Amino acid sequence: MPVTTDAERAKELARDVVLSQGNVFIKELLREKGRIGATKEDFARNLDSAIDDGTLRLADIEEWVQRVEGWGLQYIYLWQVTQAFARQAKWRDASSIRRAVRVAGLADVWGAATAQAFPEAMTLTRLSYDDGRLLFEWHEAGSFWVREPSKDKPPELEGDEIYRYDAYRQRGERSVMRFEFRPAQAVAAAFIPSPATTGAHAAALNQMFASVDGLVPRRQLSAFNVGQAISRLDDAQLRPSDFRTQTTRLSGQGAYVEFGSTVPGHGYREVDTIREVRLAVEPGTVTGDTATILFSAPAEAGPARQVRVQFYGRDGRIWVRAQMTAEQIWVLLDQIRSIT
Amino acid sequence: MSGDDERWAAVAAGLSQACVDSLRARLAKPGLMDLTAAELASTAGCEPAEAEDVLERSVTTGLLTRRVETTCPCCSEALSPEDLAAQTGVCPYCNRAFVDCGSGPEETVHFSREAEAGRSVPWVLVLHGMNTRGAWQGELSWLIATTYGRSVPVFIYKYGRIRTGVLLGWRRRSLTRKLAQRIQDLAGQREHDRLGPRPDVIAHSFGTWMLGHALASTDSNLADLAVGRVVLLGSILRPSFSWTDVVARGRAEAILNHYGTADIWAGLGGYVIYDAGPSGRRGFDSVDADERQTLIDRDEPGFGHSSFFQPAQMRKVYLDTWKRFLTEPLTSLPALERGSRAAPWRPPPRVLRLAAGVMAFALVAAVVALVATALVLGLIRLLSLAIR
Repeated sequence: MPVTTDAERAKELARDVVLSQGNVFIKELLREKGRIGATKEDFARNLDSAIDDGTLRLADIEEWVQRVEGWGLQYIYLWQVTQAFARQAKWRDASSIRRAVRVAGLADVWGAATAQAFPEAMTLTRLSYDDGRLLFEWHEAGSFWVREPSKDKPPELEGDEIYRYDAYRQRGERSVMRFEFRPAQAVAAAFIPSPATTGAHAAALNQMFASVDGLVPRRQLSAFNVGQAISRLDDAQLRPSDFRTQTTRLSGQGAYVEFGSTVPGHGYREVDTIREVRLAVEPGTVTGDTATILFSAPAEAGPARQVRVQFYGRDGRIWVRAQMTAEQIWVLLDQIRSIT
Repeated sequence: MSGDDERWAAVAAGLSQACVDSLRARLAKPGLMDLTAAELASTAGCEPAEAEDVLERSVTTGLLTRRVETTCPCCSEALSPEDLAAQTGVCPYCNRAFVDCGSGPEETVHFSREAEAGRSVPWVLVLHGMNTRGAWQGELSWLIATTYGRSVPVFIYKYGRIRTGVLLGWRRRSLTRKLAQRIQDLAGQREHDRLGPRPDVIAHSFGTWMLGHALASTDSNLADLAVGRVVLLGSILRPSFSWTDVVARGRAEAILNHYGTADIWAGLGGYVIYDAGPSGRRGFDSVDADERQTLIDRDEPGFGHSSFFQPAQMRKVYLDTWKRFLTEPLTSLPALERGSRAAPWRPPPRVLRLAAGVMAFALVAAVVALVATALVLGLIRLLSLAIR
């Protein structure tokens, strides 16, 4: 049955999208809208009643979904955009952007409502330009296999051989892929949820570029040097800062050195002897291979928490290993950019 | 026996002393400490069971906390309490069932002490006193270069052998300005250093006076002047000198005034140099409790003005006191305080200081006149010999 009212659409969005997000984020949504609850069942009940009594409106939920769904738990690629392109007059004028969108053949998704669909293939569902951000969004009803040992079968004889069957349960989820361009900062970023080692990851990147190219040509983008970012971030955190390196591997001239903390949630800089050894590594003589940085997601931009962020120098990728809000992700990216 | 010694004696009773000594040495260092019984046994050379006993007893005496680290048997990734609470039997990081790689998540007992990390020394400026070229600076520079396990840059600041000049206000001001500008120049060169541009400073005698007045200056040309931690030796600053203001303005992080109770020159300084005083003999005036962290007085009974630099002493005081002051976290610094804070210092009567200053100046002038006369007479004698 088609959705007819905002309240019904809000409930559908709450049921299908909101409840699949992290609990701390749902609590944040409910905190200002009445009762919170502790379990997903509580959340579902409280979301419904908040929608019924009008304290939670469709617009609130859509805004929240934009801010929370698909941010974090993803791979990020960062690019510097050429100044000449970023400073073009069209980025300061909404009608010029609309025209460019039309020319690029993307008018059908321009300013679309927050998608509720779970398309089978990764599909461009929304393109918008708000607050100086050009944002592309794709959605896909992804599914993946989760190991389910309780459904394993005991080894059994088949013919002359013994076979063992390990069980995997299929789990569905809605994946969100994004590309964002910020002309004022001359920076662009891609947010890809699929695992980096799969073919789906490369396919998603290609699909993204195919759609984006009409508005933000690939030749205008130069990849951010993640290897350099690793060594500079690691240098910067040797003094007290908002982030700490849990592990880092630096290499140069055919050899590498690795520093790491063995205590979860702590950086190696907290151990004086190891920090002093790290200080003996001359800046500029090494580049970063990999690093795990502990980043404090700021409370003013979402739930405050410590997040592990992994950097892959050779692949030019950043992996955010926890859910965050859009603002928190950009605080992180801005911090990385400012230091490097 | 101190409270700390008593606590360690309680840990050691009937257990492996090697294990206890090794653990105590680890805990003497600031910062995070985390180890397993196997690691302690391996470094201390004791049995794992003995190491475990020592560590468990350290937990009961409050020295350490015990934590169980749970890891995935397949990928060794640490599992959080939330990961385990889900009770899926599957690692959320590698998506493999724990039973695929063993019977379940692996547990390791760790013993930890969470403490504020220490501090790394950025670079050091060494500043000598009057009437000396600071031969000790070389020795100290060598000590600094060989005790950190990495290269810590040391700049030895020389301003020449000053004698009568310190009696003249314009000369003191000129020397102070030159020092301040040099520090700013050097800091500018290290602006992009990982540990920041500010040097730690070790200053002696008239060097302490120049440094203190440079940092207290409100000259707009010195707006960027700032240092890290400061060690004062044989200080001739007035005991009432306001380090509190200097720290509050962000120009210094903390100050250690290491003074000798038999320092005659620091005691006399206040009589002959305007705006000087005996802080290098009796310490600075008492400060509020919350400022004790950034202004530490430490006495050294029987030490004179330059006793710190005697070969038998310098290594010891450097390792036991100055290095600790430069590297321990701010919160640990009050432990270095020693000696009682004297009543607020009052400058000697103005007349007395004026008289002492005039006498000192007259004495120096007389010596200079004598030397000049001797030189002139000598020249005349030489000339007369040559003419004959």
